[in-house]
Amino acid sequence: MSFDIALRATEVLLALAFLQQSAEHLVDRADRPLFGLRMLACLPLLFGVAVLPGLLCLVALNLLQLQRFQGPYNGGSDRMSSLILWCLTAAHLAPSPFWAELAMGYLAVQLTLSYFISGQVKLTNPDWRSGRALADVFAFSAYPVAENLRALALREGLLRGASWAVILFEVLFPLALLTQVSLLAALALGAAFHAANACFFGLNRFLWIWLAAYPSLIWLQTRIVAAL
Amino acid sequence: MLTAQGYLRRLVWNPRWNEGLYLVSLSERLLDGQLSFSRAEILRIVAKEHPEIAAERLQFRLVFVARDGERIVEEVLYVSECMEL
Repeated sequence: MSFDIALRATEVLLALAFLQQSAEHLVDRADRPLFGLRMLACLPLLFGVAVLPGLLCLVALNLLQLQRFQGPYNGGSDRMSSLILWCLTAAHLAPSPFWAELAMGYLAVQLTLSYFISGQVKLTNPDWRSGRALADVFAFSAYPVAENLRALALREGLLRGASWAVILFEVLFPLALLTQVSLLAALALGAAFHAANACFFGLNRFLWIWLAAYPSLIWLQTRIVAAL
Repeated sequence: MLTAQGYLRRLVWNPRWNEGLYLVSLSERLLDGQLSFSRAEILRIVAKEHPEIAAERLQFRLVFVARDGERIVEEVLYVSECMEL
């Protein structure tokens, strides 16, 4: 994937993810002005017209949003939203292609680390290795979207298998960068992982915003292979 | 119980659930010491989500559930003052 295509794909996917997040905020009357403006500022990114002014507006709105909620509203998905937005803006403001590539490369590295570090933390936790951590999430956390899902807490074998599948996927994710085929397969698995989290735990915003970071990694893998 | 259609719809539209997760985050922040903002936001959301509450003042408590060995324990970690809505 060329740098220009990765940049454009990131703009479109980021705009779509922001539109989805912002639409949900319109339910709250107090937040309508801020998120209505954010939706308008997404349009330049979506249609590829006046992208830099659109990005600068979104950066300003991002700061207002952080001030409004005194931090991220939706945890990791808001942090990833800010990261992609700031890297994309930096790539557009960069004085040379080298710095633009550095900004998008930074995003790709952060995406890789988001999986690897998460997997490493789970791997060192005995409750994750035994499946108990996941059982507790189903049993009594605030996350399961339906009460009937809580019965899954009793499926020990299934949860141990699922825990190890998540751990192995996350810690081995950096190895997927070795070839384009393995990377595309890993990203498809990653998308399925986020979709499952959205279905079971209602974490829908993570799905769309993580997808928006994927083009940067597909480009970086091509760039590294070309440089070797 | 959610239908397959319900799961699919929630992939793109789940504002109340996300607000619930925000409440969880506010509760954690409150215990970390970010008192006034978290308290005010929790009160604002509770009042908004429960318009049937006719009271002018409201008090809430935060109950945290955790595993202690083989037992699941509940602990009240915060009780707010009675506050004006």
